[in-house]
Amino acid sequence: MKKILLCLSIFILLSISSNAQIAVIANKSVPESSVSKSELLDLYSGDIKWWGNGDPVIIFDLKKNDDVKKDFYSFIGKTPSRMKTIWMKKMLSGEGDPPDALETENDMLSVVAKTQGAIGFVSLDIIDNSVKTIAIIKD
Amino acid sequence: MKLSNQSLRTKQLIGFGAILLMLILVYLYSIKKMSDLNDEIIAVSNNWLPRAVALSELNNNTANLRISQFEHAYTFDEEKMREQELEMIELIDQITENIDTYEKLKEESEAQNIYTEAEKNLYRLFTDNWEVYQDLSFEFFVLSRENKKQEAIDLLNNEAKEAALIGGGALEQLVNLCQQESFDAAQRAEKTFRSAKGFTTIIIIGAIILSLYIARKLVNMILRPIKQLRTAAGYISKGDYDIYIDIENNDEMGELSESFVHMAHSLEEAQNKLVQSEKMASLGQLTAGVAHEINNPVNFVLSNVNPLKRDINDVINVQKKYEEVIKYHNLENQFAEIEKFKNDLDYEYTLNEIDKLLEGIEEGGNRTAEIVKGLRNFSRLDESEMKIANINECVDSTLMMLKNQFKNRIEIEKDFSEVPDIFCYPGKLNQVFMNLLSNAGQAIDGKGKIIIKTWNNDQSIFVSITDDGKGMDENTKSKIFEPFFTTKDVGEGTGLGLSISYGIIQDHNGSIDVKSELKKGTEFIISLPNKQ
Ligand SMILES: Nc1ncnc2c1ncn2[C@@H]1O[C@H](COP(=O)(O)OP(=O)(O)OP(=O)(O)O)[C@@H](O)[C@H]1O
Ligand SMILES: [Mg+2]
Repeated sequence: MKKILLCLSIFILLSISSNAQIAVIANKSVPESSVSKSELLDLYSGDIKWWGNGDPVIIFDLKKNDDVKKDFYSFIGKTPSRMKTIWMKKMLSGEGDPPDALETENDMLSVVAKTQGAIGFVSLDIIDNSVKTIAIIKD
Repeated sequence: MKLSNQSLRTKQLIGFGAILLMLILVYLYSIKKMSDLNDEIIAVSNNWLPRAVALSELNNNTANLRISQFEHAYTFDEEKMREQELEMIELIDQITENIDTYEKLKEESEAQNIYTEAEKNLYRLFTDNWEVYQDLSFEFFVLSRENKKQEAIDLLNNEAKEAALIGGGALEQLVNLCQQESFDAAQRAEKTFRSAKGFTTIIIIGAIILSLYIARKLVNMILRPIKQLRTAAGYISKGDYDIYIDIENNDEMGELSESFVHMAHSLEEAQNKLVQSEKMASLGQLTAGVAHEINNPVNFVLSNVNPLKRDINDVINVQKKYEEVIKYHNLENQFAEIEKFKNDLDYEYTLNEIDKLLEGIEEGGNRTAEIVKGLRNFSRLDESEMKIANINECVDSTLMMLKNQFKNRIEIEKDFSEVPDIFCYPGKLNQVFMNLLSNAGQAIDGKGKIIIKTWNNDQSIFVSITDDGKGMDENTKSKIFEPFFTTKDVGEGTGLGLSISYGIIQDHNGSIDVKSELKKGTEFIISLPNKQ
């Protein structure tokens, strides 16, 4: 009984801590194996438009303002709303359209796996080897 | 630690200290209130108002953004669309700036704990709708750019309108809220200012009243004894030395009052002594005159008594001779006749009486002569020369004379120190000792003891004569130096002894003191200046 309780509590602890972690994922065609915080901001602001191999950078966003999304943007120093403002400016100045916003993290995972030059973010615990992880955000 | 026991300086210091402390308190209080006030003003000027400004600008800019979007939707002219796009970029920059400004102020006010829940909720409402509006703006922009103008306008008029209305409404409410809060803060500041003004005024008035009270108290503490002293001095100048000053303070004024009372008493004593010696002096002159006048007739009487005795003896002898002659010649009848006559006259008795009368005259004369002598002594008519003498020897020679009188009745205890010789009138001092010792002997009823002590210091030689006799009450003690004061029966004492002694000791520039207790005994202490 005690052992079960112990296992349970470890499991709960693990699941809580893994839930809080976010993986920045990219399509396997992306040559970069890791990106820094400021590079992430530039990628999502549309200031970096191409990967090292010349492929265009295609960013993806989540539709719902859930914890994963908020944590991701606050990691790069912005709010979701502020990101939208940035994208709106880019759009108005003809520098590019805002990213597609996907319904779920699983959608994000599969779309990034499918799309060449794609970059996105999901909870660390749902990633698989269909994508490559280029950064892990711990809180 | 009673205040009344402190010195005047301490009292002053305490008084001024209290006043100073009060002023400092008032000062600190005003400073504190002023800084509260300052905080309020800063809160108003630094926070709510700028927030209100930022929010209303934000509201304007979002509204203008919407207007630009409409204009963008209503034109097909590429150029105009570009213009609107540039304007929108500018507006978005301003909106970003407004939001930044507001959020910075918001953080500050959160830190100051003056950011309200209502404001927080309203702002959340705005940001949510602003996000929705931005999402819709993306859609709108794509439609408008692709010249799907009607759809773009519909979007603006429906979904976007809702978000814009809710967001704008939230902003308007926020502006009102901030304005209200800044108004409230201003009112609070005014209230603080008013209460600070009121409190400070009250405290200052209190401080002034308290300082006046302390000053009054201090002045009273000093003035009261001064007034008492003034009154007392008035009494003294009228000759009333029996003054009373209620000395309640232990400060310098208390000391002054105390020495003042002391001075009054010494003054009274000195005055009494002066009166006493003046009395003595005038009595002395009077006595001298009387003594001189009585001396002659008394001498007259005394010098006549002896011849008179002799003469009467002669007369009696002559008469006896007659009787013998008559008896011898056998003149029986004549003799019988004379005897009869003698019997008739009670001649034996007459002869006796003549003796007694003469004795009486002689005694009376002698006593009168003695009194006159005493009076002359008292008035210092006959002063002999000053000599070097030793007091111990004087006392001894006096004791020799009294030896017989005291005999077994009175024990004499001598406690003599080796006192230096002094320049004095030894005969007169003998008289003083004689008088004191015989007074002591007379004060003792039955058996008793007299102690005679001598000692000296640099200034004086002392002689003390103590008896264990009947003592004196206060009333008697106060009169003993007056001439003719005596408690003894008529004929026993003249009452001159002590007044003469007093005069003699004064002539020596000495003093004579008496301590006595009724039924216990008396001590006379003579002090004579120690000089040769
Ligand atoms: N040693 C003493 N004890 C008690 N009373 C005394 C003593 N010496 C003096 N007196 C009192 O003082 C009074 C005055 O004394 P003072 O020697 O002047 O007169 P006196 O002794 O009465 O008479 P006098 O000395 O002329 O014969 C005395 O009558 C007596 O009452
Ligand atoms: Mg006497």
